[in-house]
Amino acid sequence: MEKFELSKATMDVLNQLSGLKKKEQDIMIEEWCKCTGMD
Amino acid sequence: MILNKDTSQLTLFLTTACNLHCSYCYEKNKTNDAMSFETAIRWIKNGLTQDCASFLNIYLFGGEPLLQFPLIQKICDWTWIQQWKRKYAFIVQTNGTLLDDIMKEWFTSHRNDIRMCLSLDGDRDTHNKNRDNSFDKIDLPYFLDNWPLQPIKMTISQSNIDSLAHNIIWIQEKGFRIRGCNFAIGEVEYDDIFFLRVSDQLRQLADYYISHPSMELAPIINLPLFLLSAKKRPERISCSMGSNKLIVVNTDGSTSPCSFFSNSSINKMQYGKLSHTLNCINYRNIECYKTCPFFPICDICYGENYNSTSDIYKVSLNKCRLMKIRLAASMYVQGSLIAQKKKVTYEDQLTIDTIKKYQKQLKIN
Repeated sequence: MEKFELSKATMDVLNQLSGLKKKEQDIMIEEWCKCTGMD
Repeated sequence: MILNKDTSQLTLFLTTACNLHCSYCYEKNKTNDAMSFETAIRWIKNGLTQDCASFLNIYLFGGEPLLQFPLIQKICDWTWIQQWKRKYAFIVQTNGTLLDDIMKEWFTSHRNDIRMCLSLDGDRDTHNKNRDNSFDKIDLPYFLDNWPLQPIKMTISQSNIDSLAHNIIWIQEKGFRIRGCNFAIGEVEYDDIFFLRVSDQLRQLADYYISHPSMELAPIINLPLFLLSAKKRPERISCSMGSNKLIVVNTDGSTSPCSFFSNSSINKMQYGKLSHTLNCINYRNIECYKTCPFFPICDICYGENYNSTSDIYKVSLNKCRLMKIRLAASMYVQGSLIAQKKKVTYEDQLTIDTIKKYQKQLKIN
């Protein structure tokens, strides 16, 4: 198995989660940058 | 270094003198020169009177800037009594070894207006090996007590690759946040063994975070994967060198595009040959700009490029390989943590999209 390969069980969970309805607005890059700051 | 549209940076080299001799220091041209007060306030005034809404971080840099403590006091006192439209903060990048009681009292009394960013490479053994046996001179609780949210700056050198995970965990379990975990430029020897060792360490680190999900991920495996799947995918988020958001001022008042190309790091002849290129930086000239799907979140450093390839726009194969290991490790840890959640955010969903799309391209053994 490759060093960083996610297990099948994990991928199954992620596949289920990614099918959820997108309720939130798309994240604006600027908002992300504000959160990270530069420090 | 990521600077968003709301933040700019003014770096002032108060001195290039330093009381330490760190093994990986890239400032090879140190002198005892100091910046004059008049030069400092000229640039601060220039920065704070710009008709600009962005926040200005004023970095007091070196060498070791605390060697110029009276100058720091004078600069700050002058700035603080003025009325400025623009918001700002002072940050001192320090090795932490020169703080005496007088300095501590002053910095504590002004801790909301000036922060200290400590350079800390890990536990006593690691820090001493890298940084001139200086661990016991640093009052770690002082930094935590006064600036608990201020991340430290960590450097990874050839001699401590095999304790990379241990040191990151050690630093975080002490209570510190980590701003950057950067490999020392020009000091690390890249070979196949190196990449195996780094992969092992990042796997160890990832597994630690998976079993400690409340810990903040260190930047080395916290690449913003979600951005690669965002509708408004950025072209590039790393390094503002060449933009008007980053100004670096040498002790003599001249400017450099970033600290790697400052007077203390690169000699005048080298700089002369590069100056035309450095005066018109364009990240679209980086050779992998159009071909690499990970380009937007890759922390390409022009200085590192120049050091490795003699071309600021050419990324070395070693850097590329290292980034791919970090990407794979980021996908592993972030995917595993998301799978543990009961409720996921839209950002998590974008991360999942990125993992599904790109993980197979990054096969790391």
